Amino acid sequence: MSDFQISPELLNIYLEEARAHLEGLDHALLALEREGLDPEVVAGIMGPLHTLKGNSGMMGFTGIKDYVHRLEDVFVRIGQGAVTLSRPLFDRLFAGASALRDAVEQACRQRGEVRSLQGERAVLDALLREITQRTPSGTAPSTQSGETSPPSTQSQTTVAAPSASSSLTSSVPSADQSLAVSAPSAEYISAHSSTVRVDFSQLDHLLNLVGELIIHRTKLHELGRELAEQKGGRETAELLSAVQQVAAVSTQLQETVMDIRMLPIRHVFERFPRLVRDLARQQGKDIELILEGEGTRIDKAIIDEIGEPLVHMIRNSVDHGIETPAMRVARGKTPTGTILLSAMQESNHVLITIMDDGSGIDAAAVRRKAVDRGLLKADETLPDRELLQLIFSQGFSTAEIVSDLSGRGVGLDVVLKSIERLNGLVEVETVPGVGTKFIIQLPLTLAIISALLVEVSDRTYAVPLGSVVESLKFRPADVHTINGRETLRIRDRIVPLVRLDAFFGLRVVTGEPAHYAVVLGRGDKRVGLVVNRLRGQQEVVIKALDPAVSGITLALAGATIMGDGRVVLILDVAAFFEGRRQALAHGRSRPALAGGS
Amino acid sequence: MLRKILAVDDSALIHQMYKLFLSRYKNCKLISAMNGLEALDKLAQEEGIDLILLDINMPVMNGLEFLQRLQKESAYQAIPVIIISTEGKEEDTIRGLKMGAKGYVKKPFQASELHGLIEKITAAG
Repeated sequence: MSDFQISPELLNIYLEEARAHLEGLDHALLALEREGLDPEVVAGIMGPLHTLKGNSGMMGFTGIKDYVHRLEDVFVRIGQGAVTLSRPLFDRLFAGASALRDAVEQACRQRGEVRSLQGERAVLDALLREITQRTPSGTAPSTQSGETSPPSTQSQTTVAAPSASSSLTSSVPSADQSLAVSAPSAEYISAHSSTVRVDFSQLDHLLNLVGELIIHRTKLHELGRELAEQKGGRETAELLSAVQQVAAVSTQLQETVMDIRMLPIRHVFERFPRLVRDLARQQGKDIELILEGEGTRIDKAIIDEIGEPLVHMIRNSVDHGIETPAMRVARGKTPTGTILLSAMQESNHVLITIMDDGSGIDAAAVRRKAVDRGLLKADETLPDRELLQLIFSQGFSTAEIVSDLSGRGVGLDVVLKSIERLNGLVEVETVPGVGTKFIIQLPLTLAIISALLVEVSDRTYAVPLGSVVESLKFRPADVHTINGRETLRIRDRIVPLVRLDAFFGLRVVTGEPAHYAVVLGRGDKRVGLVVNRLRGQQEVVIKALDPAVSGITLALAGATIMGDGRVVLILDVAAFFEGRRQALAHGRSRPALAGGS
Repeated sequence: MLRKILAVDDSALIHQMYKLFLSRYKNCKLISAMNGLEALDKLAQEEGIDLILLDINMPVMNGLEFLQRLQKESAYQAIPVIIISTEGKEEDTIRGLKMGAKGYVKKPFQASELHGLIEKITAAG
């Protein structure tokens, strides 16, 4: 065994690098399968594989190391043109790559190898034997499976230079051993020495510090203003101007730190070509995945969370959107279906679109199902757009409505929940027979938001401004009770009200002549929050609440600290809409339907 | 006594391991470079590097290209180089040794192996 400790830190670094190498492997395989033999692609994957092998060996993951070693041999042979690039070959290599990925992830979780990869290794050995038998003698691979490993035996270290007549030097060249020394260009030097690897937690810490700085800046600003009102004078004016400069610089600092936290969404998108390929193969479909806007940058915290919901949605498009080639031809479409996954920035949001040219969603079927599930009354009418949104309700399987293909629908309610946790929105548009488009809107960052500060029973809450449609003053007489619920008529809309004092169990302030309603919007839905006073807008740094106190029931998304040191709670806007939908969902009580697919 | 070691490898894992392995050399500064080109930069910036640990397989400028450049600079010729090789690229290790590297260790290696070789080479040089 090794004479050093495999620490969690080492495991983390290993895993992070291994994931990047495995991603590279997937991409190389996809490119070779799609475009045929490209020596550059082969040469490009040799380096990562070699590093992965070396690193796995250092970690003591011998099974992984041995598998990668054989994989290198296979790629050498592919690069030589000795291998027919066929579908069965790629199926074997992709299956191997998946097994390898599993083995790496498991080894890191369990701090030791769990999966031996013996079977997978045998597959590659058989493959290498086939290749060798087919090709004429004299072009055998340089080293096969490590059985010959001179000049040293095992892992002995040697100081002496080996003899010049080593048989190894005459063997087949490896893909990347070019000795040609080309003069590096100056821009290359700066391009490579200007990057530093930083642990993300340090960036988080930096952002927290900037957050504190902004809090104190706000306080300084307030004090300065008060001072100016009280006494004025030259010093006060100078103080105010200095404070303003601090404000400008700290805003820049904040923007810079936020910018460092941003990563291109490529990090999420890059796993999808493989996913779509595998799913399409399983189902006998032909699907082209087009990626757009992979360079769009978004906060790393969102990158980390958005992967799973996107997997769900893409899976959904493959399973239930795109038809089989035969069916597509029968419908007058091309046999190959297309899924477009794109990202773009729009002001301080990122829009992710998943569009397929599949069978679309049948609104009438959604309606039937919704009525069946008790989500909609039989005589209730909803515009198609709102009706479609019901597919995101709990227990609503798309399998039965999207196409006549059988299969389990993926719970889109799970997708919606994940996206809402990120303060995002998701909408769906569809044309039956033509295709479906899902649009996800995400904030650029989770760390700082613009908020409307409101006062309720002497307490202050922050409402994320992105969800506020308008705020208005109303008199008690304007409130009408419909179906036991207080509502306010705003122009031609009836908006249900939520009294925040009652909602949070606060002392109700009486004798207030007027109240304010902060109208929240989500899609076409509106909810009015009743508050005592509006306190203005402010940028707030979000601090996470302890999981024990956060959660939907409390409707809190986090907290922030104000200039005067007070802690202000940030409302979780989604919860105010959630409440209504959950109440409706609970209305379906027929047990026969409770466990839908 | 070792004062400065330059470690050249494209893997952050290996750099972290060097940090652990070489901590036994008190007061020795470990300088990291991710490829040959960066290593040349570091050589130009840092005075008095006593030893270079060199990976062969790296992007931008690989270890053999780096060695070739190193041998052309009279200021650097005397710095001992240890090749850190990986199974399956033995021919590259041989080339490196012919180009003047003083020894090699093959991944996976133990900390003790690296220590042994370092002590042998730096005492001899």
